[in-house]
Amino acid sequence: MSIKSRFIQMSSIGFSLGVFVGLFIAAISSIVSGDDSFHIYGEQFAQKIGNVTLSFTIELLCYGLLGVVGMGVKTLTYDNDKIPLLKATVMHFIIVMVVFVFVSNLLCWFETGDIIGRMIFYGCFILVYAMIWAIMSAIYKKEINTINNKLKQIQKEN
Amino acid sequence: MKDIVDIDVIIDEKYRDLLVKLYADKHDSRVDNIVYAIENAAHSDTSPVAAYDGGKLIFMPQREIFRIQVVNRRVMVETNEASFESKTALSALEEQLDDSRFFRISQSEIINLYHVKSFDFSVSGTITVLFDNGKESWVSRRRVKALKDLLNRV
Repeated sequence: MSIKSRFIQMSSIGFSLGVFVGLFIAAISSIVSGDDSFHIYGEQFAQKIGNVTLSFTIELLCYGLLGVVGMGVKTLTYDNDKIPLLKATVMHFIIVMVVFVFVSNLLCWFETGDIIGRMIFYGCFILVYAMIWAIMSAIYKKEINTINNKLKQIQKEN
Repeated sequence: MKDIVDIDVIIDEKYRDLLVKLYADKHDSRVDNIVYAIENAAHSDTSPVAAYDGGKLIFMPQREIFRIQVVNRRVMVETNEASFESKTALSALEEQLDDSRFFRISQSEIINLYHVKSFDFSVSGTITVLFDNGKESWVSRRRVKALKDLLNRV
């Protein structure tokens, strides 16, 4: 399968996944809020748009966009073996972060002026990517050590 | 001292891979000749690889090849001494090669595991293979599992 086909395939999956995750988070937020109502759309954003249906549609599209970027960009970074793992992680992080900042500002996910809240969230974002890179690196390092040991054993026998 | 060599052949099911032990009082040319003859015989079931040295067609024993790679759309068969061009596509060569010795590490390269010194995973996340002759190649991350499986089978 070509990179373009794979990008389209993963982006399609990503869109569905993004919408699902967005709605799932809305459901969790509703439960956590404890006021017995389903907060399916962002009220601040709906007030800004002035139309609940339109604002909900835009929110769904934004969830899908995040999914598209997350999964689609993966095929261009992590799945491209010519890009070293660290570079792939940084590239993926930057692209997803840019789109996330755009979406979060558009949908009013943070209170205006809430710098601390944003910094905490972005910090967690960076931490998650650092953990992903560290875990993947540890796995590959272990695999390579196993391969080297096995190789020495085979070469010794021969 | 006798001129002929005493040979004991032991048939035992536990020896799935052929094992040859050579006993001698000193390491001399006679020992080297016997080892060379055994190696040749052991590898005689793998076909030599055809390549061109200039305009001349040559046939190389597989054990002398340390890697085959595509460079500028040309398939180059490399030994420690020189590089030769093959007119056969890499995928076709892959089928011809001994699959317990050769492994495809990327879309454009096949290596001989018996010429590998070690594999390395760098901080940046690049996997490289270092050969006995000091040369290096890059390994695709997606081939790591298959490589591990092959080494477990061999």
